[in-house]
Amino acid sequence: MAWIVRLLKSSLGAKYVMAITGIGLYLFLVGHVAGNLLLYFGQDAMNAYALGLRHLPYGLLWIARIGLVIFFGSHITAATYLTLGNQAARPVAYQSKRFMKASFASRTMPMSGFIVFLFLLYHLAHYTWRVVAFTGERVDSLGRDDVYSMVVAGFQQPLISGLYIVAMLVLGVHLHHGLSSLFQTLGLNNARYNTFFRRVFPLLGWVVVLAAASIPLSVMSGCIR
Amino acid sequence: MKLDAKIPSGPLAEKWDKHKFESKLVNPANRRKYRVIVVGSGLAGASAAATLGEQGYDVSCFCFQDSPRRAHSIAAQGGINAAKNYRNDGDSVYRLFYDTIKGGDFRSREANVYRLAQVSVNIIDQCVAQGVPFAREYGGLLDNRSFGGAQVSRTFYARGQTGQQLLLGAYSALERQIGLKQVKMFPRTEMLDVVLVNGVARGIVVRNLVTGEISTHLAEAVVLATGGYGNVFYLSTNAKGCNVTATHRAWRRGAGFGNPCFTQIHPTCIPVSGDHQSKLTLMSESLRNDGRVWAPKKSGDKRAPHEIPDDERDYFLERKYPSFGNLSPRDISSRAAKEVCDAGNGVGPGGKGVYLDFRDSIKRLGMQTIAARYGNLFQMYEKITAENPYEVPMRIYPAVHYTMGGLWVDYNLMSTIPGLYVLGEANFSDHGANRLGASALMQGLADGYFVLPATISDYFAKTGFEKVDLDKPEVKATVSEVQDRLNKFLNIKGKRSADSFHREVGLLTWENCGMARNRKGLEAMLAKIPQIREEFWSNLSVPGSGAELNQELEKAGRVADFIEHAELMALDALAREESCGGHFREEHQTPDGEAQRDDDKFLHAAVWEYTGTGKTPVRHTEPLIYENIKLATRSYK
Amino acid sequence: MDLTLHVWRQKNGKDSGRLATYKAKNVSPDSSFLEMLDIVNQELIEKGEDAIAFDHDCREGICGSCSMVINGKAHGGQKGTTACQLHMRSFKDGDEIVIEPWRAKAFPVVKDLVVDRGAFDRIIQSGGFVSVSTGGVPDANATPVAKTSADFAMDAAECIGCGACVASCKNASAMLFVGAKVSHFANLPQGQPERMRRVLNMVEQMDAEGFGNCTNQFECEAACPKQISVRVIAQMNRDYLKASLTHEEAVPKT
Repeated sequence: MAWIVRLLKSSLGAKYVMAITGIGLYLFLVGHVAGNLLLYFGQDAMNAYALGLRHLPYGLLWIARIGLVIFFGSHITAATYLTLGNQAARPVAYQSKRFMKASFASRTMPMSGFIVFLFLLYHLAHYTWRVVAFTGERVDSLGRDDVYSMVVAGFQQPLISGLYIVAMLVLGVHLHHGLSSLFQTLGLNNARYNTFFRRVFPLLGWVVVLAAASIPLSVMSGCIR
Repeated sequence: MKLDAKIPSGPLAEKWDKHKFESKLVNPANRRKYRVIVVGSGLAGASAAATLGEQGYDVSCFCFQDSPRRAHSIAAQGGINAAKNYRNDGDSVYRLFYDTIKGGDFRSREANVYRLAQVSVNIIDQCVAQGVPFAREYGGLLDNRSFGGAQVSRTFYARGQTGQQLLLGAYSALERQIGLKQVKMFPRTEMLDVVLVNGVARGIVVRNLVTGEISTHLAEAVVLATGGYGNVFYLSTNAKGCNVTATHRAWRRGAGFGNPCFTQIHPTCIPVSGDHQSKLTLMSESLRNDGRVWAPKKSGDKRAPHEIPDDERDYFLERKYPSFGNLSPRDISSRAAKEVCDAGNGVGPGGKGVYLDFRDSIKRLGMQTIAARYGNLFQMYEKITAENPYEVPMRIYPAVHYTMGGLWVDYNLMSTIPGLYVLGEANFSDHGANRLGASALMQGLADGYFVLPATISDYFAKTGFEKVDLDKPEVKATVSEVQDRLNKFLNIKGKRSADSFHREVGLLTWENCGMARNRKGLEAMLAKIPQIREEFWSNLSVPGSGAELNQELEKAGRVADFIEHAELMALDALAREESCGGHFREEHQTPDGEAQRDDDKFLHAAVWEYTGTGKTPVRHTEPLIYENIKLATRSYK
Repeated sequence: MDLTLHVWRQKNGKDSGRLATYKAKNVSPDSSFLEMLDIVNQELIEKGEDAIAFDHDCREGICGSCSMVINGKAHGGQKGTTACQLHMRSFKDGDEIVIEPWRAKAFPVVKDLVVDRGAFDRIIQSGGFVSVSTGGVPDANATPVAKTSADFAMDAAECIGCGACVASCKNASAMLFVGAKVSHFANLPQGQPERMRRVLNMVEQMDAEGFGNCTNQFECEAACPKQISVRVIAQMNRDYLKASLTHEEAVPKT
């Protein structure tokens, strides 16, 4: 197993971890947001979906949860390892540094990542653990956990909605760089496909993030009630 | 001074093989007992250090740059010749040999040049195996081009960066040996003197340029691969750090200096733009394949080039040398440009320039073709001059580029000091009075990869080495001389920088010992140099101390040697009462202004022996014997 | 034209260093940036003051010696240009110019603007070569190489080892330099036998030297005076992954 240690300890190994877990987390995000878009299809669809998730067979829910923890954990650990290494690589800062090409998104990855992490904790505390801004247990007419109403009630508070929208924008910036960068990290750079890697894939991040941000916006504007 | 060239007997084509067979060898297991010092890490130095390391010798390599990869070989643009005859256009070892002898105006040794042409073939094989990315054709085989007036296509190239790619090849071989601990590398370390024990080279004294520490390194052989002395002229295409110190110091210790007046002026350089100029930039000679050289017919014509109609332009190379035209050899093209400018027909600031015009070839071949061939050169030109050569003709002027002269060496590349070898541009051997394009890279690598590694074993095997350590009086004396000299520079505390003296002696040399020389000018120069030297030693300013990185102290030592070396060049130019190759004495020309050799009196290499400070050096000669080639007048008409 | 320079002065590696201000007067717009520094140095020397130390040699953009961050950009930030090729005509009369050395843990400052780039040499020692000794090699035309491969190899091999990639990278990463060498050999048949071992060893040495990691900002590509493409980094990433997962030598010896 020593070769795995050698690989993971290398600068490139840690970057592969970033790229691969990044892909996984993005795919999770797509699923998660798609599920929540059921809010647009009404209370029944949403609550049925929530119930279905909770009663997945073979303990799939827990497998998914553990997988997510591993992916998040690896992504964050690798990011911390790389960022600390990067800071150590330039102990004396420039007095006049100016960037020539680096995008805003690429320069702020550790910061945007950290903000998204804080948001993630808040999001879990809000809707999963239900310990922050919780407005009480609700049950729908069929006796199911009324996720729909809970979400609507949550987003009717402007402060919380605003927080979610801002967090989604930050996540968009994070994905903007991440979704293009991972191809380069995994060694995919070809003049033929670089337009996709550098221009099209970042848009996929924005699609998901804006779709997610539309939910609080819709609740606030009264489209979802 | 005894000058035994040690040329092997027998037919020309068999000399090298015979010599290699007759050389004594050193058993592989014993090689690590022999220490070799290589000074310089350019093509010759890096290739020699790497190859000797591979063979198992205990090698130390020194360079003043921060990395061996930065040696000035890296700046060579055009290409490297080899008698591969891949083009089936009549090339052969003999033809490359003949072209090189003729190009050198019959002032080089037949045996050396023939060996160079033989070995040229192996160099290309070696470089390709190292992964040098030479230009290729679509079929996957190597591309060739014709270069520098050759009538066959024998030049291999890697875009406009052939020197860089070859050097990086030699550098990678060297780094491999460093990694294997076969070679110890000393970057930012400058050699300041050779250590002789009983007349035999046994080491060098160096200064660590970062800490200022002076130390001595001992060895059984010392190899100087320290390049040429073109920077005597201050303005040249050489890198700023190129210097004569290693060879000059060796000369002062008794090594004969061969043909110091043989310097090469390259015709296509970007002209001087003002007093601030610190160096000149070469534009590859390949530009002359498609560019036409001209100057206005009317002297002092101030019109913009496109306003001058064709019948008022003097395409002087095409006019004077119809069969070679714009591709005439370097010395001839340079001199023709100088004549035009001296007559007042030059263009640009100070009238020191002629046009190199691509108008006609752009019309004939189209912009795209010209861009594909010369795009990077045009870009480089525009960067420096802010003029676009696609629209305005380039302005060019000759500049010092290479020095054929150097320390005298025998067939084994050993100087007149036993155990002191000299490689590449630093020696005098192969190019005679003028070097052909794409031959410098060839010679540097031939010496380093193939010649020295085959000849050095014979010296080791036949020599009983005295035990030498750092306490030996000769060693201590050399170290204290070096130290005293450095202290002297620091303690003058005058007003003028080393650069200002360098500029002064450079301009003096350029004007009197440059493209054209005459007795009056050379004598005036010889009278002036002692004055410059005297002022140098009384009014030099070197701030800082010797115990730190001190670039002014480095320069001071180099400039002191340049001043002395300029004197030697003038002496040699004065003594050589003929014109040949890069050495043009105005007193010796044909009625139509061409160089006139004097084979009766000067069919020899002049070798100068140092006899002490303030004393005139003694001129010795090594006769050149032509057994295979018939001497002819070099004509490119 | 007249300029005000703020130049990093640092006596040696132990000194902490500071910016010092100098006036450069009557600078010709045709002079190069280094020639402008020469003029400033001449005045300092005539006054008996320590001249500003900076690395330079060929002054035509190929040796890779010159190394300074000018107004926050490596080599001054002009496309495909080294500091020695930068001309004063790209500045205006009265400009203030800040000049700093390359800054990276792996490139310690030696003095003023001079840094130690020995780390690059050590990376090459770890594998930046083809292991052939002199002599006994096949004929140069024995192995055909597709022109496109040879051209790619040459694109990468143009690297001059100046270190602008490290200097300009937010993370002081050397991956453009290492990638260029890996890519040079990876595109040639001569480089194949050692391809996997080369990338493993070079990356390991690069990490040991204390360079940062790549965050794919491509700042290096913009600063590179030879305009080497970041595709060489992708090639290195690809080869390293493959080597780590498949190559025998990726398993450390016990």
